[in-house]
This record gives sequence, C-alpha cells and structure tokens, in this order.
Amino acid sequence: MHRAWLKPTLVVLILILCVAGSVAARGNMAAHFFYVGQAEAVLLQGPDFAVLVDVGDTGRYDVVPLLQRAGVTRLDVVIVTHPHADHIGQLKDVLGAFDVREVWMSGFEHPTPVFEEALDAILASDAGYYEPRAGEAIPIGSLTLEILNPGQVTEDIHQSCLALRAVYGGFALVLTGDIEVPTEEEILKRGLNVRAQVLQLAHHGSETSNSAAFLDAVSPEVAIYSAAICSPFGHPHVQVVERVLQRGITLYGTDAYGTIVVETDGHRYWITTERAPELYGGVFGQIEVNRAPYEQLLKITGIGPKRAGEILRLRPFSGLDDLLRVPGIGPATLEAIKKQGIAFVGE
Amino acid sequence: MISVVLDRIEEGRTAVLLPEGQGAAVLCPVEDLPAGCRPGMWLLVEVEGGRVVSAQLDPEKTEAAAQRIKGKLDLLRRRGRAEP
Repeated sequence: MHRAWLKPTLVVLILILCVAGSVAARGNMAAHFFYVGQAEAVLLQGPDFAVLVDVGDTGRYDVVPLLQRAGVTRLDVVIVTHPHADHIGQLKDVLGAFDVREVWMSGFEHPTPVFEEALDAILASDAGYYEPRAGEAIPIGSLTLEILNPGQVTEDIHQSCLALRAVYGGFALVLTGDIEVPTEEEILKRGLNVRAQVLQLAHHGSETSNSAAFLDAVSPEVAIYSAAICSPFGHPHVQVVERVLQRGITLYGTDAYGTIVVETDGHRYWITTERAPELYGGVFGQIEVNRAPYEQLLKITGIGPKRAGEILRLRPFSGLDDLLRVPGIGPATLEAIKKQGIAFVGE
Repeated sequence: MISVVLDRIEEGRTAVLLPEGQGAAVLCPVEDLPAGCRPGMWLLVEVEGGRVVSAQLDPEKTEAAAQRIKGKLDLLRRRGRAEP
C-alpha cells in the first residue's frame, strides 16, 4: 500500500534499536512500540522500571524475542488493556520467560480460550494482580502511571479498556488500548490531565476512535499507531490520518516503520525507527533477513513462527550462512533457503 | 463442525473467531453469524475454504466458559497485589 503521507517530511534516523543497558545507564526512558503485526505491545523501560503494556497477538511468537532483544530480564508490571486476543495473546509466553511482579487488567470477563489460558498462566505464576481505576496515580520506580480509564467495568469491553498516561519527568505519553469515541468523551469529562508529547492512537488508528476533541485535549506532537502491514481491517483509517496531519502532529505507524522507539531524558525526546518506511522487503519480492518484519520472514522456506521469532531476536546476521545460529536451522534448511532464492542479507 | 468463540467484531463488519485449543483465528463477515451473536459467545461452525458456511450458537458452552473465567478472576482478585 502506498502511503505518501508517511514519506518523511522530517529527518528519520535509522538506527539499530537501543538496548536496555545503554538506555538505563543514561538515566533515560525508552518507549518501544514493537511491530507485532495487527496487535499491540509497548515496553516502557527506564533506569529503575520495566513495564509492558499489551502482549501481542495469539498464534505469533514475537513478543518474548523482542523483549529479550531489548534487554529485558524482568518486568515490574504487565498491563493488559483489555482481553481481546490481539492485546493479550502472548501473556502466557511472557509470564513463562520473565519474572513478572504484577499483572494489571481491567477486570472485564471475556470467556475466550486465549483469556482463560492467560488467567491460568497468572495463577500458575507468583505475580500479583490488580485492577486499577481512573484517577489513580501509581509510581513504578521513577515512572508514574496515571490511570485515565476505566472508572468502572461495564458490559462493553472497549468502554472498560485500561488507558493511562505515563509520566517520566517532564515527558508524558498517553496509551489508549482500544478505547472508542464515547470512552474518549468519558475520559475528558473526568477532567484528568491528558496532555502528552506522544499519543498512541487508539484501536490501531481506527475511525471508531481518535476524535478531534480527544486529539485536541491531548495535544501531542507525535502520534503512533500499531497495525499490520496491509491491515486486514484497513487500519489506520484515512480519516484519522487526515485528522492527525491537519493538526501538525507527526505520525508514525509500526506497519511502515517497524518498531518505533521514543527515548526521553525526562525533558527532551527523540525517535528512532527500525527501518525507513516501505524499505522492509528489499526489492522484487526478496526478503532482507536483517530488516524484514515477521510476516515477511515467514515466506522464507523452512521459517515458521518460532524460527521467525528467533531471527528477530538474533539479528543482525553477517550473511545467509550466519542463519545457522538460529535454533533449528541446520545445513539442509540453509541449503533450501539458498535454493529458494528470496532471502538475502544486505549491506 | 468446529467449536469457536467470537473474540471481537472489527469495524462492525469483520468477526474474529477463535477456535478451541490451538489454531489460527477465522475471519468472516458478521452477517455469516447467527442473529444475537455477541462477542464472548461460543458457536459451532462449519468452515469451508476459509469461509463460515453454517453457524449455530452454543449457549451451554458460553455459560460454562463464563463461569470458569469468573472463578479464575475471583481467585486472582483474592490474591491481590504483590508485596512492596
């Protein structure tokens, strides 16, 4: 899909993503908006905290490798904004891979196997459990999480969705999950401070959400949405894109840029992205192993969901032969990959 | 027939069905589902060529799943927050 509006009118630095140690050592916070397909996963990582907001989609195996690559060894809090599969999908995997101190949820009861599996995983872990409510301000080390929603759980899963304002020094970031316009209005009626330099567009940039009134109240300089390349639901919607750009807000999407990292010292902030927009796939159907997103890696022969996750964790690779570092890839698979001829390693 | 649950409806048009156990989500037009079907409800569906060709609600399974979920959430609420 051609998205001329994403062509950089600003300077985009293409850098290898910062690892946790360096961010923490600088006393900075990094907010990683991971590319996890048509799903959400955001890591807030600082000198004395690590918080994960949403845990990707079911049927994928990308969140744990991405967290490991970011240097995560433990998580203070895992927040599940709401129990739809594209927000809670890999909670079991995360709880299995990391020491998690607490899990926060809205308390909405959703009788799906993905949610039940997540509950079973929490019950089997040592993690604490909490259902925060609008108006609370909860410190996690030097980070403060101000809860914007819900006031109470209702029969509507999106109305019950957790939304929060993360404050680090003089920097604020609003995370919205899948709240929709009526819930945005409820949040504004509460009179809580919603202003932030960076806003996560709600519901993957859907027209169900992201009203003009909410955008104006948050008044962000940067908006970020998470959506799959060629989203099956048309996210982000063009009306939302226009609404954002008309306000002079700089727009980033994980479909175009891959993982997006906002780093801040508590005053200034800067943004790095995994790739320049639309450069992820190489040319003529070829797949650049060091840059390609998860879905593209799955097109390489012998690469299934788990090996694709391992490639995300282990790259960069110095050449195709270096793929032998990936668990499960041996000489025979490597030969088949070379014979297929679509995978390559760029400069 | 396979047992699925309606996880969500995207943009008022596309139903996202999760199969029991492991397996990829099935997407279908919301019109293909029985009247009154809401997110969180279980169904028995027949899928051919990636499309839902027949579907019926499974209220017993919906109620059983809801009771199990409620019980497990209650256990977690009793556990409470981690020690400071």
